[in-house]
Amino acid sequence: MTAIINGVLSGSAYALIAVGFVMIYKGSRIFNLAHGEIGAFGLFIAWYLHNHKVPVLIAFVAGVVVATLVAIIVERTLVRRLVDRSPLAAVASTLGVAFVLAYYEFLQFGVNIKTFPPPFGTFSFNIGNLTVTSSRIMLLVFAAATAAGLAVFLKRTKFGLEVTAAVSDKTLARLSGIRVNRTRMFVWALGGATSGIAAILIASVNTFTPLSTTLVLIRGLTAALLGGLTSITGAFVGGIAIGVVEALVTAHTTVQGADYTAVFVVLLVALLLRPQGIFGGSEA
Amino acid sequence: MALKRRQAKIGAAFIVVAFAAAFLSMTFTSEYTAYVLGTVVVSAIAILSLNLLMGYAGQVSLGQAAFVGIGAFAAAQFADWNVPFPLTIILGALLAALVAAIVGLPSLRIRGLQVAATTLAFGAVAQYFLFARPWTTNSGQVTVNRPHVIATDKAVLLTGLVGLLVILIIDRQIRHSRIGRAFFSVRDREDTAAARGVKVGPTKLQAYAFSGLYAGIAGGLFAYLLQTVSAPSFTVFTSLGYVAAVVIGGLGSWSGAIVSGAVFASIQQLLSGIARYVPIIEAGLLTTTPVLRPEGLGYILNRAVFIPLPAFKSEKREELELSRAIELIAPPKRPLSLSVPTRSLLIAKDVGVRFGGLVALHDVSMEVRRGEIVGLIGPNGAGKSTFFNAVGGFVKPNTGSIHYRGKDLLALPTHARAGLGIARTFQQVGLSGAQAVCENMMFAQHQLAIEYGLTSALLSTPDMRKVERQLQTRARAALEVIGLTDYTEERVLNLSHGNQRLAEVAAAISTGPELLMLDEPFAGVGPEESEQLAERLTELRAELDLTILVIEHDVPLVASLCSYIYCFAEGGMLAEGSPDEVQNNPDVISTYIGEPLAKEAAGA
Repeated sequence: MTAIINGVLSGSAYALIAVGFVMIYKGSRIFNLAHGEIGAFGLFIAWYLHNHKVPVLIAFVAGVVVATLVAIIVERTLVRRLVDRSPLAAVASTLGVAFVLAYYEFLQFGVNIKTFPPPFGTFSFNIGNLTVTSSRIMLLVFAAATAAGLAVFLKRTKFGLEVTAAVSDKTLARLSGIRVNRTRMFVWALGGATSGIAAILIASVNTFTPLSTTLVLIRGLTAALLGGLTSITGAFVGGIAIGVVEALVTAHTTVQGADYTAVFVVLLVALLLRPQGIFGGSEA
Repeated sequence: MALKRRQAKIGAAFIVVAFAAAFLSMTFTSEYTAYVLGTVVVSAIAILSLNLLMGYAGQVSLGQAAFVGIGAFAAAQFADWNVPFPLTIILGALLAALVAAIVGLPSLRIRGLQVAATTLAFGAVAQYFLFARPWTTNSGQVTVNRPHVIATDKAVLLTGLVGLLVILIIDRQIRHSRIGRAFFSVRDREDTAAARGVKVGPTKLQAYAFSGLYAGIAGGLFAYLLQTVSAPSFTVFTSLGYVAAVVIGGLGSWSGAIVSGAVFASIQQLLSGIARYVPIIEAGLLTTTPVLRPEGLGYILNRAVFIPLPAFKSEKREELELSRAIELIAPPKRPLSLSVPTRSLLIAKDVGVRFGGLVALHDVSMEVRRGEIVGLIGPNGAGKSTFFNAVGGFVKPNTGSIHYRGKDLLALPTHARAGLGIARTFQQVGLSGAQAVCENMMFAQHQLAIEYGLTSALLSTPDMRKVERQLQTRARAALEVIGLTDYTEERVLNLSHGNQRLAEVAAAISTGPELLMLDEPFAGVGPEESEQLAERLTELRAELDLTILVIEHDVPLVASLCSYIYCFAEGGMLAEGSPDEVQNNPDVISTYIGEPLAKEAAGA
């Protein structure tokens, strides 16, 4: 039971990453391979500010804002130019961005293991022998709120429907007065913000290094794929599911890497049985 | 063709000189230089493996280092079991090929970026689980003992160069055979590929397997070069670095792949002072290459090496007489089967297609007789293309039957239908824009080339060369018949829209079809060109003994071309008859006049 609660809590980190990733995919039909690194960049800014005596909550907000801005810059300078010509080239260029950010962090901040204090206070409580800190709860809150908010936003608001319409038929969308570039930039900004929130909160749960975010991104991506890639709800559920599977495996074996391998097997089986993903086809 | 052959020769000469230089220099290089060059060769092979997968077959792998790692660990393990030396690398490579094919399995059900994500996931599993197992040794690091024959770094480098040469030859054979054409077609458009008789799924797995094979060879060489194998050499970051090198080199450009791989690997080894900035330079190039120079390094390289040479356009090419050309591609005389004593080629009965709740086609029955030109008209969304797709096997009708020469088409898989003598064109041009016109024509005849297998392709056996020559001749004949011989070596995307349409018809004709199905061949073609094309089609019918089924919007054009017309509306049959009957049918008139013009405009 504690393993499951633990799984839900760590899964919410993957869920938050996955929701942002799916949002960007829905709004521009490309993979943002820099999704994790953009958040990590925000994290390093927050960490740097906090080390220079900036209050932790302000550092957190600043980090999220920086991540959002970086995402917007990437969209405006690269994605916008490439997405119509070659989606593959656009994806490759986001990989380039990921490299640039990762190595910048690496050269600037070094490889030492770092810590970041929880932005939302240091309270914690115990369930059985499991300690639940404020950051873990906040990850779950942010993930659930973002997923629910986006699902409603995409289905119920005019602008949300435009986001989906903009990628299904660009010409038609433009003729109907949808500003395709604007909706795309919006989803990237949103993706950057969620990535920043996720990265900083995850860092305040564990320690971090310039390369640790990539591993979280891989799990987030797996969650998105499991959830069907276009479903916000699916991404959220997929993230939680991965957290639970990993926690259960870890509780029963000490074999290194077994947790993620179990997730991979689940993914393969799920994709072969249901290629569209668990929630695929649904547009929520 | 002459220019191209010349380039190929120069390219080959270039490689021979480069390898000769490399082998000769072996006598006076130091062990250290040999080691550095060895790492360069290894990464070049690894990058070639990804170039094949991404550049040729269009399947993205973000976990390529895992296959290299499998090759390395396996070679080490086989060496430990006292398997003799070159066999260790070969067995390891075969294992890597097998694993790659398995990892490629999801590509049968999902596409593009989704598959990319599963390969990334596999890369992570390999890094953290497979390669971290104590099945190797407890330290997570395996030691490889070099046998006597390759005791020195120089000897390993020599082995690596031989390996690279072998892979370059395999790569060339693949590119210039039906195997490679199948890869390119799957990369560019899966539906066209299937229409040409390519088995899309097996083709993808084949690409994964070949890619795994190359990667495994790289891994085996790596094991002998470093003499230790451990997980940190094959991380997800290594994989992403390979992707970077392939993109910078230019997708699908083997020369670019080698150069970009070699440059980064050697900088990293030789100039340790700036080595730490290499990743950032690489990342910067990766980010900017797609924006500034999408063709990558390979393109620049090609220009640098080949353009200064005079163009040898004047080389004599035997002219193909039109009559001879027609003879060459006229369909083999297939007698109508005796059991079906009718002149009808295609008979559709009560065909219905539903997509979810949407009825795309209902109760459509039609008949196409031998030698006729039959028109299919109707407003957008009437179900015309859906009907074509039902005949071609891209959608499965829920009701009804379609027979071709008395054969039940619906019982046949898509790729098998292509061999029956049915050829079609697509509404959006179905040719590979990046390939030359001639290569597209050769690919169009894919199902005719099935007569040779993988081994023949790799070894260039006489029967493979014979088939290839036949394809080339037929390709040229088709271009002659359509009148496009001037563009034989031009890339399709450089052709005018009208010529692209013509090239598509030529591709369809090159297969020697009986039934030619044309989906809006006049779309986007000017009125004058349209008339010419229509005239040419009528002539072709007589010359090649063709039966034609054509979808078109322009009613007067269809009326002048066809002897019989079917009109669809909202998925059903609205009217049929001679051009006069259909044109004067009140339902047809009201459908065409009543239809808001805006709808036509938006969809066209």
